[in-house]
Parts: sequence; C-alpha cells; structure tokens
Amino acid sequence: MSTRELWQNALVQIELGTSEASFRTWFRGTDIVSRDGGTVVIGAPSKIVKEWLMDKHHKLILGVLRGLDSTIRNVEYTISRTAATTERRPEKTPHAQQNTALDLQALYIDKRDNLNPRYTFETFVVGPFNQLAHAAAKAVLERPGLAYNPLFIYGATGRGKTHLIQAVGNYFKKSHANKKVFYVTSERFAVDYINAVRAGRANNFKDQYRQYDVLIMDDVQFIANTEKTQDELFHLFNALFDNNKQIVFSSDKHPNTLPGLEERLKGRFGAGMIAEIPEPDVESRAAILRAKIEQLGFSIPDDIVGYIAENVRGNIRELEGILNMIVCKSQLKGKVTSQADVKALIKHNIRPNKGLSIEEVVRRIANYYDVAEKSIYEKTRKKEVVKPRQIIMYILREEFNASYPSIGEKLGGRDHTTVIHSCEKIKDEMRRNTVLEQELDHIRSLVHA
Amino acid sequence: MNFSTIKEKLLSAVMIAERLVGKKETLPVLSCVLLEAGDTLSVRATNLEAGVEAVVPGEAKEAGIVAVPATILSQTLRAIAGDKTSLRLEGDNLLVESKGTRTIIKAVPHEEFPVITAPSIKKGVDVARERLLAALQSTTYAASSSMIRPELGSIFLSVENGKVTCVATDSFRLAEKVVADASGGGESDVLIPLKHALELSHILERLPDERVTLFVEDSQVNMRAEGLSYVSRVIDGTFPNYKEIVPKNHTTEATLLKGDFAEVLRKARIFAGAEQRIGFHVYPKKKVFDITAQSPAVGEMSDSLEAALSGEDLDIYFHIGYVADCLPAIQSDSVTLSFSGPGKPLVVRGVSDTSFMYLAMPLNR
Repeated sequence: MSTRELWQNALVQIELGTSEASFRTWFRGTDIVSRDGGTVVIGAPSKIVKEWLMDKHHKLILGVLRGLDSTIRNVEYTISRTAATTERRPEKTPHAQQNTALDLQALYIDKRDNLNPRYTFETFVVGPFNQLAHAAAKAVLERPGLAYNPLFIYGATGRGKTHLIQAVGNYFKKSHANKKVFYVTSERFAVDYINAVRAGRANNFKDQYRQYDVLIMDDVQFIANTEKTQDELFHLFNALFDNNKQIVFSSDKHPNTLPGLEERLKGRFGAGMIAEIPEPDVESRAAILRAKIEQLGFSIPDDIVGYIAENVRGNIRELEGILNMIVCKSQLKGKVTSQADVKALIKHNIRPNKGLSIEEVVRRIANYYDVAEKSIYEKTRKKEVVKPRQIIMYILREEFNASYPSIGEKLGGRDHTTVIHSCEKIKDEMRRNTVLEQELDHIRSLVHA
Repeated sequence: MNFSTIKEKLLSAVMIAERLVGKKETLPVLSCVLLEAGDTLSVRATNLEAGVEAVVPGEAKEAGIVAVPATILSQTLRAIAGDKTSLRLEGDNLLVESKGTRTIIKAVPHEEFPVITAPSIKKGVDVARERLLAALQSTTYAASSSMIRPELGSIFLSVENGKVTCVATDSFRLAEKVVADASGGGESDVLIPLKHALELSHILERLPDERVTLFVEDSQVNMRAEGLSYVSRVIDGTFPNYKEIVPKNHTTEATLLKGDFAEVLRKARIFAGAEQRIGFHVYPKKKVFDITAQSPAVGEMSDSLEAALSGEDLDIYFHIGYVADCLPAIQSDSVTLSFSGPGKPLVVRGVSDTSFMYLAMPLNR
C-alpha cells in the first residue's frame, strides 16, 4: 500500500471517530510526508495544527494506522513542506502580457541546500547515451546509501551531469522531508574549507558537512592538487560512507584518469558505481531539442530539428544556444525560421568540424601516441607505429568521411585495401578492448578541439 | 471567573483578536475569542494560520476561562457605556456587567480551542516598532495578491547582522526596505504570507510600544510586545535571489524632487487610460525630462520636469501604478531614477537614503 493510499484509508476511519467539524478543521491538508520503516511522518499545514494533532489526536491516528498496517510503531509530526492551501485563482494582472516580468525564474536557488529546482527528472531527457547514468541515479533514489555509494557520474562539459545530480537532490528533498540534502561544487567546498580554517572554525565546518544525509559534489576535478582540501574530503567521505549516507560526485573524467588527485580518493570514488555520460547520439539530440522547444513554448518544424541535431554535435549547451538564437530570431522577424537561416546560424556559431587537414590530424594523433609524425608516412611496420597509423585511418574514415583510396594515398601511398583492413581491425578491436575505446574518445576530442 | 477592567482596554484587545477569527469556520470555537482570567486577562484568537494573544490588566478576583463568539463580544462592548466592566461566569455563559448594564453571552465549549504555540527559540531580535512597521508598509504593496506562486504572495523577512530586511515582489516590481538598528538574534529568513504580514502591520500600527521583539523560526514567526504576541505561519518556499536582478550599473539617471514627480504622476494617471501606460522621455544632452500619457477616450498630456540628468537618451514606458506605488515609501525629498536601457528595470531610490530600493519593469512596446 502506498503512503497515499494508507493515509486515505486512515482518514476514512478517523472521520468516523471524530465530529465532522473537527475532522474538517484539523485533518484538511494533512498528508503522510514520509515513511521510514515503522515510523510514519505526518505533515500538517501549520504549527498550530501540528501541535493539536500531537496533543489531542495522536492516539487515534496511531491506532488507525496500526490497524491498517501492523508494522507501524510510531507516528511523528512535521510541518508540511508543500503549501497545502494553494488557491487556484487565475492571476488578475491585466497588464501581465504587456509588462516585462523580472527574470526571477533563474534565481530560485534554495540557500539551505543550493539546489536549483529547475533540475528535475521530469525535465531530464533520457536517451541511449545517458541511460546507464540515469538508471544508476534512479537506483540510488530507491535505496539511498545502499545501492551505489558513492555514485560517480562523469562526462565532458554540457552533457547533463549537473542536471542529473541536482535532480537526485531535488527528488530526495521532495520525497524525504526530514532528510538533509546538500549540493556543493568542489570549488565552493574548497573555498568554504579555507575560510573555515582561516577563521578557526574548522570543527564547525566538519560538523556542518557531516550532518547531511545526501551530499552531492559537482565537478570534483577542481580540487586537484589541493592537499588539505582533499584530506578533508577524504575524512568527510569516510564519515558519511560509514553512516550509509548517500554521496554523489560528478567530474569531467573517469576517477582513475583525474590528475592531481590522491590515490586513496580515487579508490573511494570508484568504490560504488561509475557511470559515464558519453556524447549524445543524433536521436537523443533531437529528443533533447524537442523537450527544450516545448519548455520554451515554441514550435519548430521537424526537419529543422533534425537538421540541428545532425549538425550540432556533442555539447548540449551549444544545442541550447542555437535553439535560443533561432527562437529569438523568429520572434524578432515574426515568422518561423527557414532551414536556410538555420544553416547560416549554425555555420557562424559552431566551431567547424571540417577544415582540418589530414596532416593536422596525423600530427595530433602521432603526438598523442608519442611517435614521430614522419614515421606514419613511412613504410615501417614497427608495432608502435602501426597502431597509431591504423587509428589515423579509422578516424579519417569515421570522423571526416574521407574515401579509402584518398586516405591510402595521403598516408604514404598505400593501397585502399590496406586502409579498409585497418578500419575493420580497429572496429573489431574496439568491441573487445575498452581501453582502446577510451583512447578513441580522447582522440576524437583532440581532433575536434 | 471574576475580572474587572477598563472597558476601552478590553475592547481594543478584543478588536485586534476579532480581526483574526475565521469568518466561515467549520469549528464553532474558531470564530471565538478565548478569555482566560488569571492575574491578568488574556484574550486569544486564531484561525490556525495566525494567532494573537493580548493581555489586559485589571482587578482579578477569581480565575476562569471562557470562549465566546468574537463579533458578539466586540459589538456588545462597543455598545456599552461606562468605564469599568466586569466579566463573570453565569453558569457556563459569560456575564458582562458595566454601570447599569447586564449582558449574558452564550459561550462555546472552549476545550477545542487550539493552543497558540510559543516560539521554541529563546533569543529574538529586538527592533524599533516604527521601523519594522515602516519596513512592512514600504514593501507589502509590491507583493502579489494571489498565492499561486506562494513566494510572490509573501513578504520575505530576513534577519542578519542586526539588520531586518523586508522584500516583496510580484515579478513586475520589487521593493526592499532595510531596518538597520535591530539587535540580537542570529541569521534567519522566512516568507510571511501577505495576508498575515498586513495583519502584523495593522497590529504594529496600534501598539504603544517603542520596541518589539521578533522570533523568526523555520515554522513560524512571532512578534512580541508588552502585553501582546502575534504569531503567523510561514511559507515553505524559496524567495528568488533578487539581488542578482538589481542592475549594477545604469545608463541614464535622473534626480528630481519627489513632490514634483508625484504631482505629475497624479495628473498622468488621469490620461493614462485603461492601459495605465505612461512614457518617460529622458534626453540628458538636451536637458529634457518629459512624462507623457495618452488615451483615446480622455486626451493626452506631456509635462516637463526639472531634473538633474546624466547618461544616454531614452524613451521608456511604464505601468503608472508600478512607478507611483513606491513614492509613499520614500522618506527623502528627492528621488533618483536609474534606468539601464530599454527592457531593463528602473531602480528608484531616495537621495541619501540607502534603506529603500524599488525596481519596476517597463512595458513592452
């Protein structure tokens, strides 16, 4: 039985046991806020009602709840977080359409937990690329502190890490009124720590962070090379972890490849669940665009959405940027933007994919593997050179759509079948070798940077 | 119960309490005031969201407790002549006696009367009553009258470093007033629903006290004065981090006499029409500051104002109410209007008065 049903059933019985007037006065707007094993927490709309329920109706409530569910041992009361008495009256401001409104929407950040209520699971678009991270986050919500602790999300900038981890925080806040959630960026954490130490309040700092039930730390890569802060984080981690408090981290890299981080921290980051958010695929990009368009209350033809999704790669923030520009442009002109306009916009505002010479690609990849650039073009079949050469062919083919014969010709006059063989080999190897896959990810970001 | 007191004192306490009781309450006792006689007489009322307790001094002969409908008691007291009034119990009912009058008011069982909770924190913030009142009156008009977005239908009250700050916004304008001479109390902030904030300011207006104490908690806010305590529920929500939207720089600035400005706005209101739209035309280079208004039904006006101007030329339109509303809250004789260009908020401040700040958004074309 869900808590909602439980309370509905309980209310029916309570109504029979009290007078109608008193029932309507004291039980209107109450709800079960959370349930933790045998303890049920009931939310009341105001302190006066809360105290009244506690003093006068506690026996009745406990009795009824126990009758419905014998595992309930105790009932606690709290003041409900949600405003129970929300009126549903349309806003009567006649000039609402004309008058520009203050842009308050972006400023609702709760000071107590730093969470931005905009980031929720409802607005998070799930696609094949972020399915794993999303599922891990959901699992954490179901069994906080036990399922995956810590949860470590990593991925390049603009992939939705912050959205996902803040959504976790917001969900907790809503479903567990009495749990303390806190969101902090690692940079903020470091600054707070330094300030606390300087003011001689290091112990306060420790106590403050140890009280949280869910700690979310964004962008941990920024505390690289900070010895004392890392020490503090290490101790904090242990304190929270030992008490089964949920910890969530995000970073731009896998913990093992984070530079300037102590080994013991890396080990702890990897102890729970590590989920990557890779580059979104075309379908996901289109889905994200559609969701954003809906949020903006705008409509853009499907072919244009498809065009943007195919041509703006990687960074979701860039997608948003392009979309905002299109919306702004068409509002200015008063008509829907055509595909040609969108093309022009994208051309001017996105870093070009192409225009990188084959030599430049060779140079960058040779650099990455630390082999002489010249040796790639030579006939040598040394192992250290063969692998980078094959990867160069693969990248040229996959990322730049070069033809097999032209690749062969440019790389020291090789036959096109050699190139085909190389590409197939890398593809095949990638399936078995995750290290290679990661290397390729890095190389991709290198050649697109 | 046997308690005698001066009628005026009792009546003023009952009148404050009466304003709070619910009009259409399902529970009869909620439309009552509770009179509890001990050494003094305590008059209590609540509508579950807010509550008040007023203490009336007098001559106590016998303790007792009774709940009677608030309107009936206040109407009775208003109608009674004479100075000294005594309250006694006649059976279960309340007997009100004064010189030559004798009234029996039917009582309601008082067992169901809710407990008005005392603050759970010990230390409150001590603040000058008039200042707190001014802070509320300078901001309440800017709050939204609807509770659809609870944080906009509330007054944001924050206590920090001996400063009490009140802020309200309905997303079209925003008013902030800082009271600096408060003492004690830690750091906390709450959202008080507009309805209860107005009630608080109504009570503050009627108090004789020099200073009052505020207890700001997570679940309620409590104001205590000599012989009176008011508590209101607070809203659980987040007030927008409004400091971010206050423009840091301005492109055009005008300083002018408040009286002149108010006068022209009063006239402009006549011509502003149903749209309530007025135009500000600021041309610092030509030293011109014009206010215009027009409506097809009434006519049009264009008045020049004497002002010290600086910055870029600007034509900008406002809803007249959104500009005029803030003027009563400004104490100084001259006001500064700081514009940040088209589509950006206008900042209004009193010259040499840093305690008050007002933001108004312009109209779209």
